[in-house]
Amino acid sequence: MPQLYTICYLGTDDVFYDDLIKYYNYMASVKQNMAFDYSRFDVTIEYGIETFLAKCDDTPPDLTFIDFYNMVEDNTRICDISHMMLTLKKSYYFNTIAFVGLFATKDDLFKHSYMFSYGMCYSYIKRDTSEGTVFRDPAYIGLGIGLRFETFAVAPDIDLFYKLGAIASVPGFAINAIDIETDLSIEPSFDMIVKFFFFPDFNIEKFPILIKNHGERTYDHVHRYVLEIPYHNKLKAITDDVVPFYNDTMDTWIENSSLTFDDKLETILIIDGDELPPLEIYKLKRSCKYNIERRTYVAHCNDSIYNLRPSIIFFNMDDDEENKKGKEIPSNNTNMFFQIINAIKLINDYVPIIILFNSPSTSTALQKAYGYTALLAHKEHISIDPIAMLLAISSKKQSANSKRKIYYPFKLCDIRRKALVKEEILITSLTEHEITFASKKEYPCFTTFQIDVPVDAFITIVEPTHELKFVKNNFHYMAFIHGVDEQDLSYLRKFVNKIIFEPLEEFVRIGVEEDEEEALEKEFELQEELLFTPDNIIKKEEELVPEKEKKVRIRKAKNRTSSFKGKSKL
Amino acid sequence: MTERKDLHLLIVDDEKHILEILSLLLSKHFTKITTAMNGKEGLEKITQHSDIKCVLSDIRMPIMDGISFIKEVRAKGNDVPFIFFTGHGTDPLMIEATKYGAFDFISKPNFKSLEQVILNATKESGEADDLVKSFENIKK
Repeated sequence: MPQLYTICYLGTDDVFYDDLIKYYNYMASVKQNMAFDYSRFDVTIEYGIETFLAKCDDTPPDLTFIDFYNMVEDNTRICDISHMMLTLKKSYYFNTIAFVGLFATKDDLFKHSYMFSYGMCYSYIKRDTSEGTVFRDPAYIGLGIGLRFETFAVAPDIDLFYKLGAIASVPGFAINAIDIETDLSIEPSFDMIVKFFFFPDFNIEKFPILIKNHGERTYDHVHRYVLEIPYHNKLKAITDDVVPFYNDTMDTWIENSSLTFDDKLETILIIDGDELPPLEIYKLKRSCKYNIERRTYVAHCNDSIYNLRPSIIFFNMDDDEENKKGKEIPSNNTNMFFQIINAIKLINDYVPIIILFNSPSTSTALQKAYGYTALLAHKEHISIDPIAMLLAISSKKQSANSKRKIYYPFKLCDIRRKALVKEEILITSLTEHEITFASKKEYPCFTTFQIDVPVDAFITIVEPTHELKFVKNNFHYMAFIHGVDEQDLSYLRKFVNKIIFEPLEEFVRIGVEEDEEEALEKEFELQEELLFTPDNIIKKEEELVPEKEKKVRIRKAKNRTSSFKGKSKL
Repeated sequence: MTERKDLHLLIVDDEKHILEILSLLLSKHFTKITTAMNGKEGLEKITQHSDIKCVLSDIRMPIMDGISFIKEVRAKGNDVPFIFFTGHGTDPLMIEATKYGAFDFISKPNFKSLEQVILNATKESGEADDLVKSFENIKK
């Protein structure tokens, strides 16, 4: 029985959709042991996203292409899609979906590159004719499958240091500190070097780490930090190595920008055992004034109560029957509920309201049994309607301004939330398609970085497609280059071809000649067009990519464990 | 003297004097009282008397405790309200009892409010209305 993969396309481009189907059908015809099912949704229309989420609940897609081609100016739609991605990514059962972003221009991509924090693992600038990479690379990243990778011209043994920026996201900040989420693990004894994009005069890049992993991760990242903003003391002299930044600059900016920050009220925590469909969670998040945090099981809460301090907790008790069937899944039973209550009791001055769904007992009985008075029972299984009703009652009693004076959260589609955590790596080789680099640090697979050499683009760490050479005392990584347009691709080829014969002394952009490119291209076979050939121009049988399904699917665990490494040192 | 409510109650406790006190107390307010000394007897009584509208039961009893009793009753599809007696403070078995649908817990020997609790247990009310009202009260 062939393995069935579900691919969704969220867009309106008939030609692209046809190309997508042709490519994957071709892949299925070569590999034999796989099959593809396709769905398409127009998310620019009313209820388009809801229709897609309903489909996810029925048959979760393995790979989803989101076409931002005619959406980028519609900020509301972009926010809706961001919410949709995070709703799925924060779900125990749906966070395996791999998202691919399709953009009309590089400007559009860079403007919305915060989406890499919401689960986008690959990006593509659309052209008149879709290249095979837009289908092949996501299949490798998201599904662990693919056809043989073609041989590109390789500039080997580059061995030059280069600073790139790991994609990070800022949930919000206070006057003296910044929350940031990233895939990188940095010990608090070190400073974090980060480029923020709050406003032009925010020019400091070195931040002491106050806390690591203090709170819940809001986005599709592995670690969360609190960084101290190192304001310059006006009484101290400015030395050459100091970039002075004053707190009144920050105060002025906050005051002028106050209306642009998110105005969500307190946090609500839902622990539902995945009973609530993603569509309902999505609708609730978009419509209510609260910050909705959803955890499937108590086992996934990881100090959620302590870190989030939700003002209301909605908890769905498991049916006893389910547990008796001996399923190997976490459960939300009375023991787990008791743990929640105990965790709450340990926190001073904190008494959230708890609504317990699927409880056959009365509120009074529960309050006495658990020794907790702010506990209400509801006989039925958890559903959105009573939650929405209670939140509507609650929000009327609350002031929206109560939190703004202390903490300033960014809206989901605010480009100022994007940050780049700077890392120095050793570039070992380069093709127009992938880059290999070494580092003493461990990076999770699928970490995305932004680069500016040879071109402005993004790279995402993948399971290497071939053996990488041993680099002593380093981890050696491979990353696919993506988010490049046709001009970039042309320059990349020229760059690679040139540095093969004229090695660089530092990894920087260089000038390349037109006629050099033509001469060099004759020496190297470019097989990419041949691969994507539904008419079977290829005469040889394709070799199959070694099955990497198990390893690549660890991608799914990126959010649940930070222990997965990139390619280990040999 | 207030009119007695036409309700059949079942009182289950292994302490005979508790049964006697409660029978005396509640017979002033309710028309029919049946007693049992343990959960097994209580199960027999419920099977015999289909008109039992409310059960008052101790939790810790020999032969069959209150938890096993309510579990057996629920397994037969009977959702009759259960009011449990407890000792001082919280008993770990109270949490266990809530898995099967406990209406309330009354600490021995504070039986003052028992009549009202029984009346609350046996009246029909809208769950959703109760939830909203209770939520609004807590939010105040």
